[in-house]
Amino acid sequence: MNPVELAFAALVTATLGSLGGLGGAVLLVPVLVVAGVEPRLAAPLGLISVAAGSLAAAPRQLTDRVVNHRIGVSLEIAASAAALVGAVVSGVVSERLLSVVLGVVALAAAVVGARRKGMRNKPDPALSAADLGERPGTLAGVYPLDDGFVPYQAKRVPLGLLGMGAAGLIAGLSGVSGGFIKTPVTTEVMHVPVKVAAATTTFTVGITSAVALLVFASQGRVVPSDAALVAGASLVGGVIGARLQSVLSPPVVRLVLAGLLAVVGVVLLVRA
Amino acid sequence: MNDLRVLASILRVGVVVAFALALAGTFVPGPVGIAAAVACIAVLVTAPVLRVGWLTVDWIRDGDRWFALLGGALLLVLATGAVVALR
Repeated sequence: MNPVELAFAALVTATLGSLGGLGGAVLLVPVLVVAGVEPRLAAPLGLISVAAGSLAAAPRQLTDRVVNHRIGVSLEIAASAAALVGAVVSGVVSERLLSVVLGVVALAAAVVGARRKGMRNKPDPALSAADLGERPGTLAGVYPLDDGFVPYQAKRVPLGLLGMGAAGLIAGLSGVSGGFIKTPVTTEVMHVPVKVAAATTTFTVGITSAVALLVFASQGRVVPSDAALVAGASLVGGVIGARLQSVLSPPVVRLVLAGLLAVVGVVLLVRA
Repeated sequence: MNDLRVLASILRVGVVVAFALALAGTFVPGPVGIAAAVACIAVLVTAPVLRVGWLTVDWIRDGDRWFALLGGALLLVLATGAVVALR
């Protein structure tokens, strides 16, 4: 894969990843593998893309008050610990097995993305701009939607923690960010609105990626020049994705992503 | 409570710095380019950790002890990760 193709792939996947709150690695890593990059080298590049996209999307999402840091930090403890375990053992996992894991993960993400539902929480006319943001001491808050303000409360937290552990393990093992598991778990299991879940996941995948990247770097699996190229393109993609997130309909984005993931998953499984 | 806009501004600076380093790491040849690429990766790794640190301090100041404890626990997990990685 030449540098222009690599930069373009990183730009597009980071844009889509930030847009849907799925991270970008689940798209970028399979694309790199299909293009001939070794999975053990593609995985760190995927995490660099996620970390860059997460950082780039943060300023806008903070300003929009759609991130719930309390939910993110609570769930990320399980995800980061599991990511650490996954990254440590990933060096001994065969490339064929890694391709199979990535293929299954991509297909699973496609199914989850396609099956996700619409709005569960409705705007409350009694709320105002003064109520926006997180509620201290709780896993609840209020986020803006069009001209209204929507209250929410995270539910079934233990089950959510379990899902985050699985997401973290996959992140460390395969080099994808786990965001495609985190966002559905946060919305469907914990009943957090998809916009908040996507922004919060974009925050937490940056943390998971940081932990796993340290391990990959210590294993000599990060190529600086390729990493810089991917980081630069993904920073641009993250900014674009965060802007698009606030204007496009989430169901449309999810369906497009699901289609992409299904194709990538089938290609990887056939190749493996 | 700390203003999240301040955190957003700090992260915006981080984005600009990381992008400049990424450009240098991509287009500057030799050791300088490699150093810039490594620095870019360092920014990407440290930014989310510093963000968690900021939030933890914010929650301590707010008296939100439970979440301050969780923030501290997450930082501990991240520190463990760093130790394992650099061992």
